[in-house]
Amino acid sequence: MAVFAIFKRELKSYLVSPLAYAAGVVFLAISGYFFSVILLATRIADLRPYFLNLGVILLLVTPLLTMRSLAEERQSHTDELLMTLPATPAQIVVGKYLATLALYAGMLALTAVYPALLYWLSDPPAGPILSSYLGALLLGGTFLAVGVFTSSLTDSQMVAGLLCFGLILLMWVINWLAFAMTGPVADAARQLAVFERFDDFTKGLVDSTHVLFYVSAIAILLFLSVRSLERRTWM
Amino acid sequence: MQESERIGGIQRLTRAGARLRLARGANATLFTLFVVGIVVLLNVMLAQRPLRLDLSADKRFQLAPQSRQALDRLRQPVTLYAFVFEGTEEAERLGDLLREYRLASDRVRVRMVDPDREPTLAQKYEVRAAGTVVVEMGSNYRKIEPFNLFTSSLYGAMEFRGEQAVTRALLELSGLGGSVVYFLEGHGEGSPYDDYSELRGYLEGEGFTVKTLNLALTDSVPDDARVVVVAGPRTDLAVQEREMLEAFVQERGGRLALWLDPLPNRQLPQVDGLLATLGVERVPGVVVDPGRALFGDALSPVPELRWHDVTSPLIQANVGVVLPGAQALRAASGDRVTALMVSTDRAWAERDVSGQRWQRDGEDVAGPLELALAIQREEPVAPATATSEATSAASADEASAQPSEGETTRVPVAVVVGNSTFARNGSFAFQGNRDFAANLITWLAGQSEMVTIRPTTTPLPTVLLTGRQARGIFYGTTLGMPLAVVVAGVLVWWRRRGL
Repeated sequence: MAVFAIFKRELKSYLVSPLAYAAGVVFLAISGYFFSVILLATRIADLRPYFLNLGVILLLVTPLLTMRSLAEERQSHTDELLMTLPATPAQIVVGKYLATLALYAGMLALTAVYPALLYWLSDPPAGPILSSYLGALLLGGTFLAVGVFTSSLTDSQMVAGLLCFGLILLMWVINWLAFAMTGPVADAARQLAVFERFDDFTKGLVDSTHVLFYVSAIAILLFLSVRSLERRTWM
Repeated sequence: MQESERIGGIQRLTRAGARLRLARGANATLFTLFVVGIVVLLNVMLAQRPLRLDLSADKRFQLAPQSRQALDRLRQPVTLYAFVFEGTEEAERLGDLLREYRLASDRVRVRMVDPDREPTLAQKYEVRAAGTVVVEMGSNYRKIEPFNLFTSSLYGAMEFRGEQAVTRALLELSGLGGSVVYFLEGHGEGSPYDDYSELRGYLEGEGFTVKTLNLALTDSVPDDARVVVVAGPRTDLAVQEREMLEAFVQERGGRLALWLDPLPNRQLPQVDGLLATLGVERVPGVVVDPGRALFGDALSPVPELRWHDVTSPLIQANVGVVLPGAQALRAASGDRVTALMVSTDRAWAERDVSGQRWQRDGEDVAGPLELALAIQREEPVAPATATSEATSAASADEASAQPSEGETTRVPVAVVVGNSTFARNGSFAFQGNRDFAANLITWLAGQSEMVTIRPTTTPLPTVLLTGRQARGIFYGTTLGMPLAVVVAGVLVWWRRRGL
């Protein structure tokens, strides 16, 4: 119940903040550009190229959505007030995370216009579109968890945003190690590569290993955020 | 004294507080590491048996039952190498396919190899082009060339035949499949290592084993022979050779591919005798077809194809087969013989090849002329288990569709083509030549029954757009939708301002 109360409060504050609308505009403008330019250039009713470019958009938008999440409370010293609420740090983190996820899901839902346009013009296979949306939700969900975590580390929104940007970029390029090296380091880098897994979703494959990977990554990042929040109570 | 005790007490408290903080910090770190470790372990454990839902349009994330059976029969480990450059279409398709084999069997190991980064490995298997797959079992390996994996010639869109090729290679390396095709030599025929090397490479990629055979050095056609190809003999067979081939066909159910060129002024009585047992005879002369020929060269006819298992894919794809310097044939008997290729009625078989001008006269046989014939015979239907282990396993799905006992079925015996050039290296790539050559051998070997894995094509639904629609989509999605968000934001701000 406490999670829901925090989720509602957070979502409301998002919907009246210019930041959420700015993020929405950036997300939809770049998404729309990618979608339409790819469609007009290839004349093929396929959403996969759009989804393969989604990473770039998320790299820009995720820090915008999450940088205020916990850092703002700390900056404005409302975190002390937050701690007096009848809610545990875990409930606070999960509630705030779910609010950012809901906002992102809402933005993603608006892109349903793209497949609708494709169905109007042609008859693309539905399977890969559905799995791509599931993958996009999991990938975005992981990035948002990164953002919530970095936001829990600092009281500066700017620093939180920059850290989030850097961490996501690192997650993106970590599989480059696999090109440069061989052996267990390359294997580990391949396992950690978030986009390689997302690629399978865009082809139409829903693999429990990939779903578990994203859910685990989200769980670990939120757990670390909770630890970071709790740390303040005894430091 | 009291003062110093008080200070000492404060110091002790401070130290205790520091120890407490340190202990809590250490505890917290350990707990964090413990939780992260558990989650990682859970991921590793569940990755061993993944649940997978394949929503792809071409069902690329599941193997055909034939492939699973081939994997179940593996008795030793197999390594599948894909020689590809990262990020290419080939790397993606082959990576997806080989991963399915790895997930389906513990005995399969997959390695994606960049030929530039590991040139020694590429050299070891004589890999010449990116997109090559090597299937290695023990000390044996089978190489699958890119043109056996990706074909785009016939159907416009790219066809991916990877699963077909890899499964055939697995069956063959397990000793369960792979018909042996012998090329006869000793009469000036073309060699599979020289004139027909492209055809040999293609057949090997399809799972066949290609060997040569000199009947003068043996007393019968080898036991493992499924098909014997007689590709353009320049001299006649010996009587014993003819008898061996007849015994191979009539007593052992062997199949023959006879590719015969017109040899004016040369008699081939044993070849003719062999043809007679098949119900076929040669029409003297060289085929001249002004009605349908390659770039107007009447001596290179591109005959009309008649519907048959061998030719139907070519007819559907609307491609031709060119036979430069062709020999006409005639079906001498009954319904066992089916014409595969027929010239136009403007064609004739020119007997006088010494002249400079080609002209039809009284002694020439007039068209339409038959240029390729398929011969079949009736056989009682064999129970599904009577065939080889691999055949029965691969066709298990089709077993229910087999006719009941006592019925007969038509089995292939021979394909006679009045030309041997069409499958030679120089002509092999022309339109439908490669597919005609490969189809006729596959049909003869009955290979199509052994591994009937459908090649996959990636559907690409195209879009037709008017200029207005294109502009509407571009401005609507790039400007319209973000603008709607701005308007929503302004409305919210306006409402809040009024509160």
